[in-house]
Amino acid sequence: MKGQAVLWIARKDLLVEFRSRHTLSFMLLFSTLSVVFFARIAGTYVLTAPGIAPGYLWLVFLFTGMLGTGRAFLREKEGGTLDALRSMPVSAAEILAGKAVYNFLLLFGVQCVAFPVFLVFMELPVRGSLLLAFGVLTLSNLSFVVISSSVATLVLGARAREVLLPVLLMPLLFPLLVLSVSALNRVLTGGAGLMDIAGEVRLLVAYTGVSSVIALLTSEAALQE
Amino acid sequence: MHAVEAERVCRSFGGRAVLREVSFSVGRGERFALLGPNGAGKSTLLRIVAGLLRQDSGVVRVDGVDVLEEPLKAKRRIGMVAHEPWLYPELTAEENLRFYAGIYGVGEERVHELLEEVGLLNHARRQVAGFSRGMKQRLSIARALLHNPRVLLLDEPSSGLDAAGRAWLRRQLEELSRRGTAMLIATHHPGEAMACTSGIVLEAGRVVASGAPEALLEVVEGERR
Repeated sequence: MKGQAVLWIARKDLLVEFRSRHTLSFMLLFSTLSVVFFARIAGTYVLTAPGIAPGYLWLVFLFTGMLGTGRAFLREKEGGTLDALRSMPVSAAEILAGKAVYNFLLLFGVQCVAFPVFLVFMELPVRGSLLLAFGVLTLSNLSFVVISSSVATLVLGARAREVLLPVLLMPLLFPLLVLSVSALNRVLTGGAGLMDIAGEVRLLVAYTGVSSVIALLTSEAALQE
Repeated sequence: MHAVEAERVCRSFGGRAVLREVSFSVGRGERFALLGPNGAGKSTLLRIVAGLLRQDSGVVRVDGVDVLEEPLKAKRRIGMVAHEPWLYPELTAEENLRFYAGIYGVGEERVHELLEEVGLLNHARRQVAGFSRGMKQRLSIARALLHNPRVLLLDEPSSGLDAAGRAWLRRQLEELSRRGTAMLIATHHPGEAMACTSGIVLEAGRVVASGAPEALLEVVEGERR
């Protein structure tokens, strides 16, 4: 796999997004509104049971991510440019990796806005390191985009792909959600340090690694017409 | 060695045969016409040669390279002008070409050289969304020529072009032919077919005639009557 092609694809997608602002603006708006709504509805419960807050945060990321990450491939399919990518001397794995890099940067942008908004509106009594919590969230988002980008290629040919994508994603994301929510919970409300959540982090890294290998191995078949 | 060789190529969609044992060969610098009514299999054949679609059986070689066995190597030798322009409307003409050039590993000077060649240098910084169909087609041809392909595949290349545009296209193709580029042109346009050196007529996925364009057009006219 050539890194150059991956970077060109990610760079092009960012430029297209920067011009159209179709995806990121909606993702930011959706995530901020969701956090505010959850804070308003569940604020009192969070005070008595702060452990539920990271779960809410992940629900926001889950829906925001599903809203945005499928768009990268869908836009190419609808505009006819997916064929252009496939007609060039780049492997399906490079195309997928380029899209995953773009999706990760998009979700990282959302994370940079939604996480502080979440902390402010939830009024969560934070005990641990915010930097560590942000790191856990970043690692989880990396895993999320690898899986969602890969599944997005699998549903490209389906008629009801917008509906099918979340249905297929949910069970695949379940282990990631459980690990990430547990680690975030222990850091934010339990004051745990990196060594305390080493088990969850190791499993998150392994899950991301395994997902990446499966995604790359299936990409050729998934992008075949 | 031929620039393009197809041997007994077959392809079906859902049990319906679209190509039946199609064989032909195209020499260097040759302009080869693919004629036939809608649904005859012309576009499918071009997509198979481009490596966008796998044939069910048969062999396709581009410059001696089997498109199924070494797809990336074959794709380096091919440029394609499809029915859709394969451009990103949000990007400028220059940004579009720069993206494709980046993937092919072609330098910046080639981008400007081609923009000048297709008469779009003055529009290089305009977004493609505001381009006419003819301008998009010119840019699409520039995109396909970025890496100096040995084989150019063109699907209805003059569609959307006015008389001046068609004359320009004809001059371009003749010039490419002189430089040794082999061309496979799927067309309905008699003028375009007459500018070819040889070709075949497809009907219901079968080759029903092959030879000089004058004779092929008589076959096509005879079938219409």
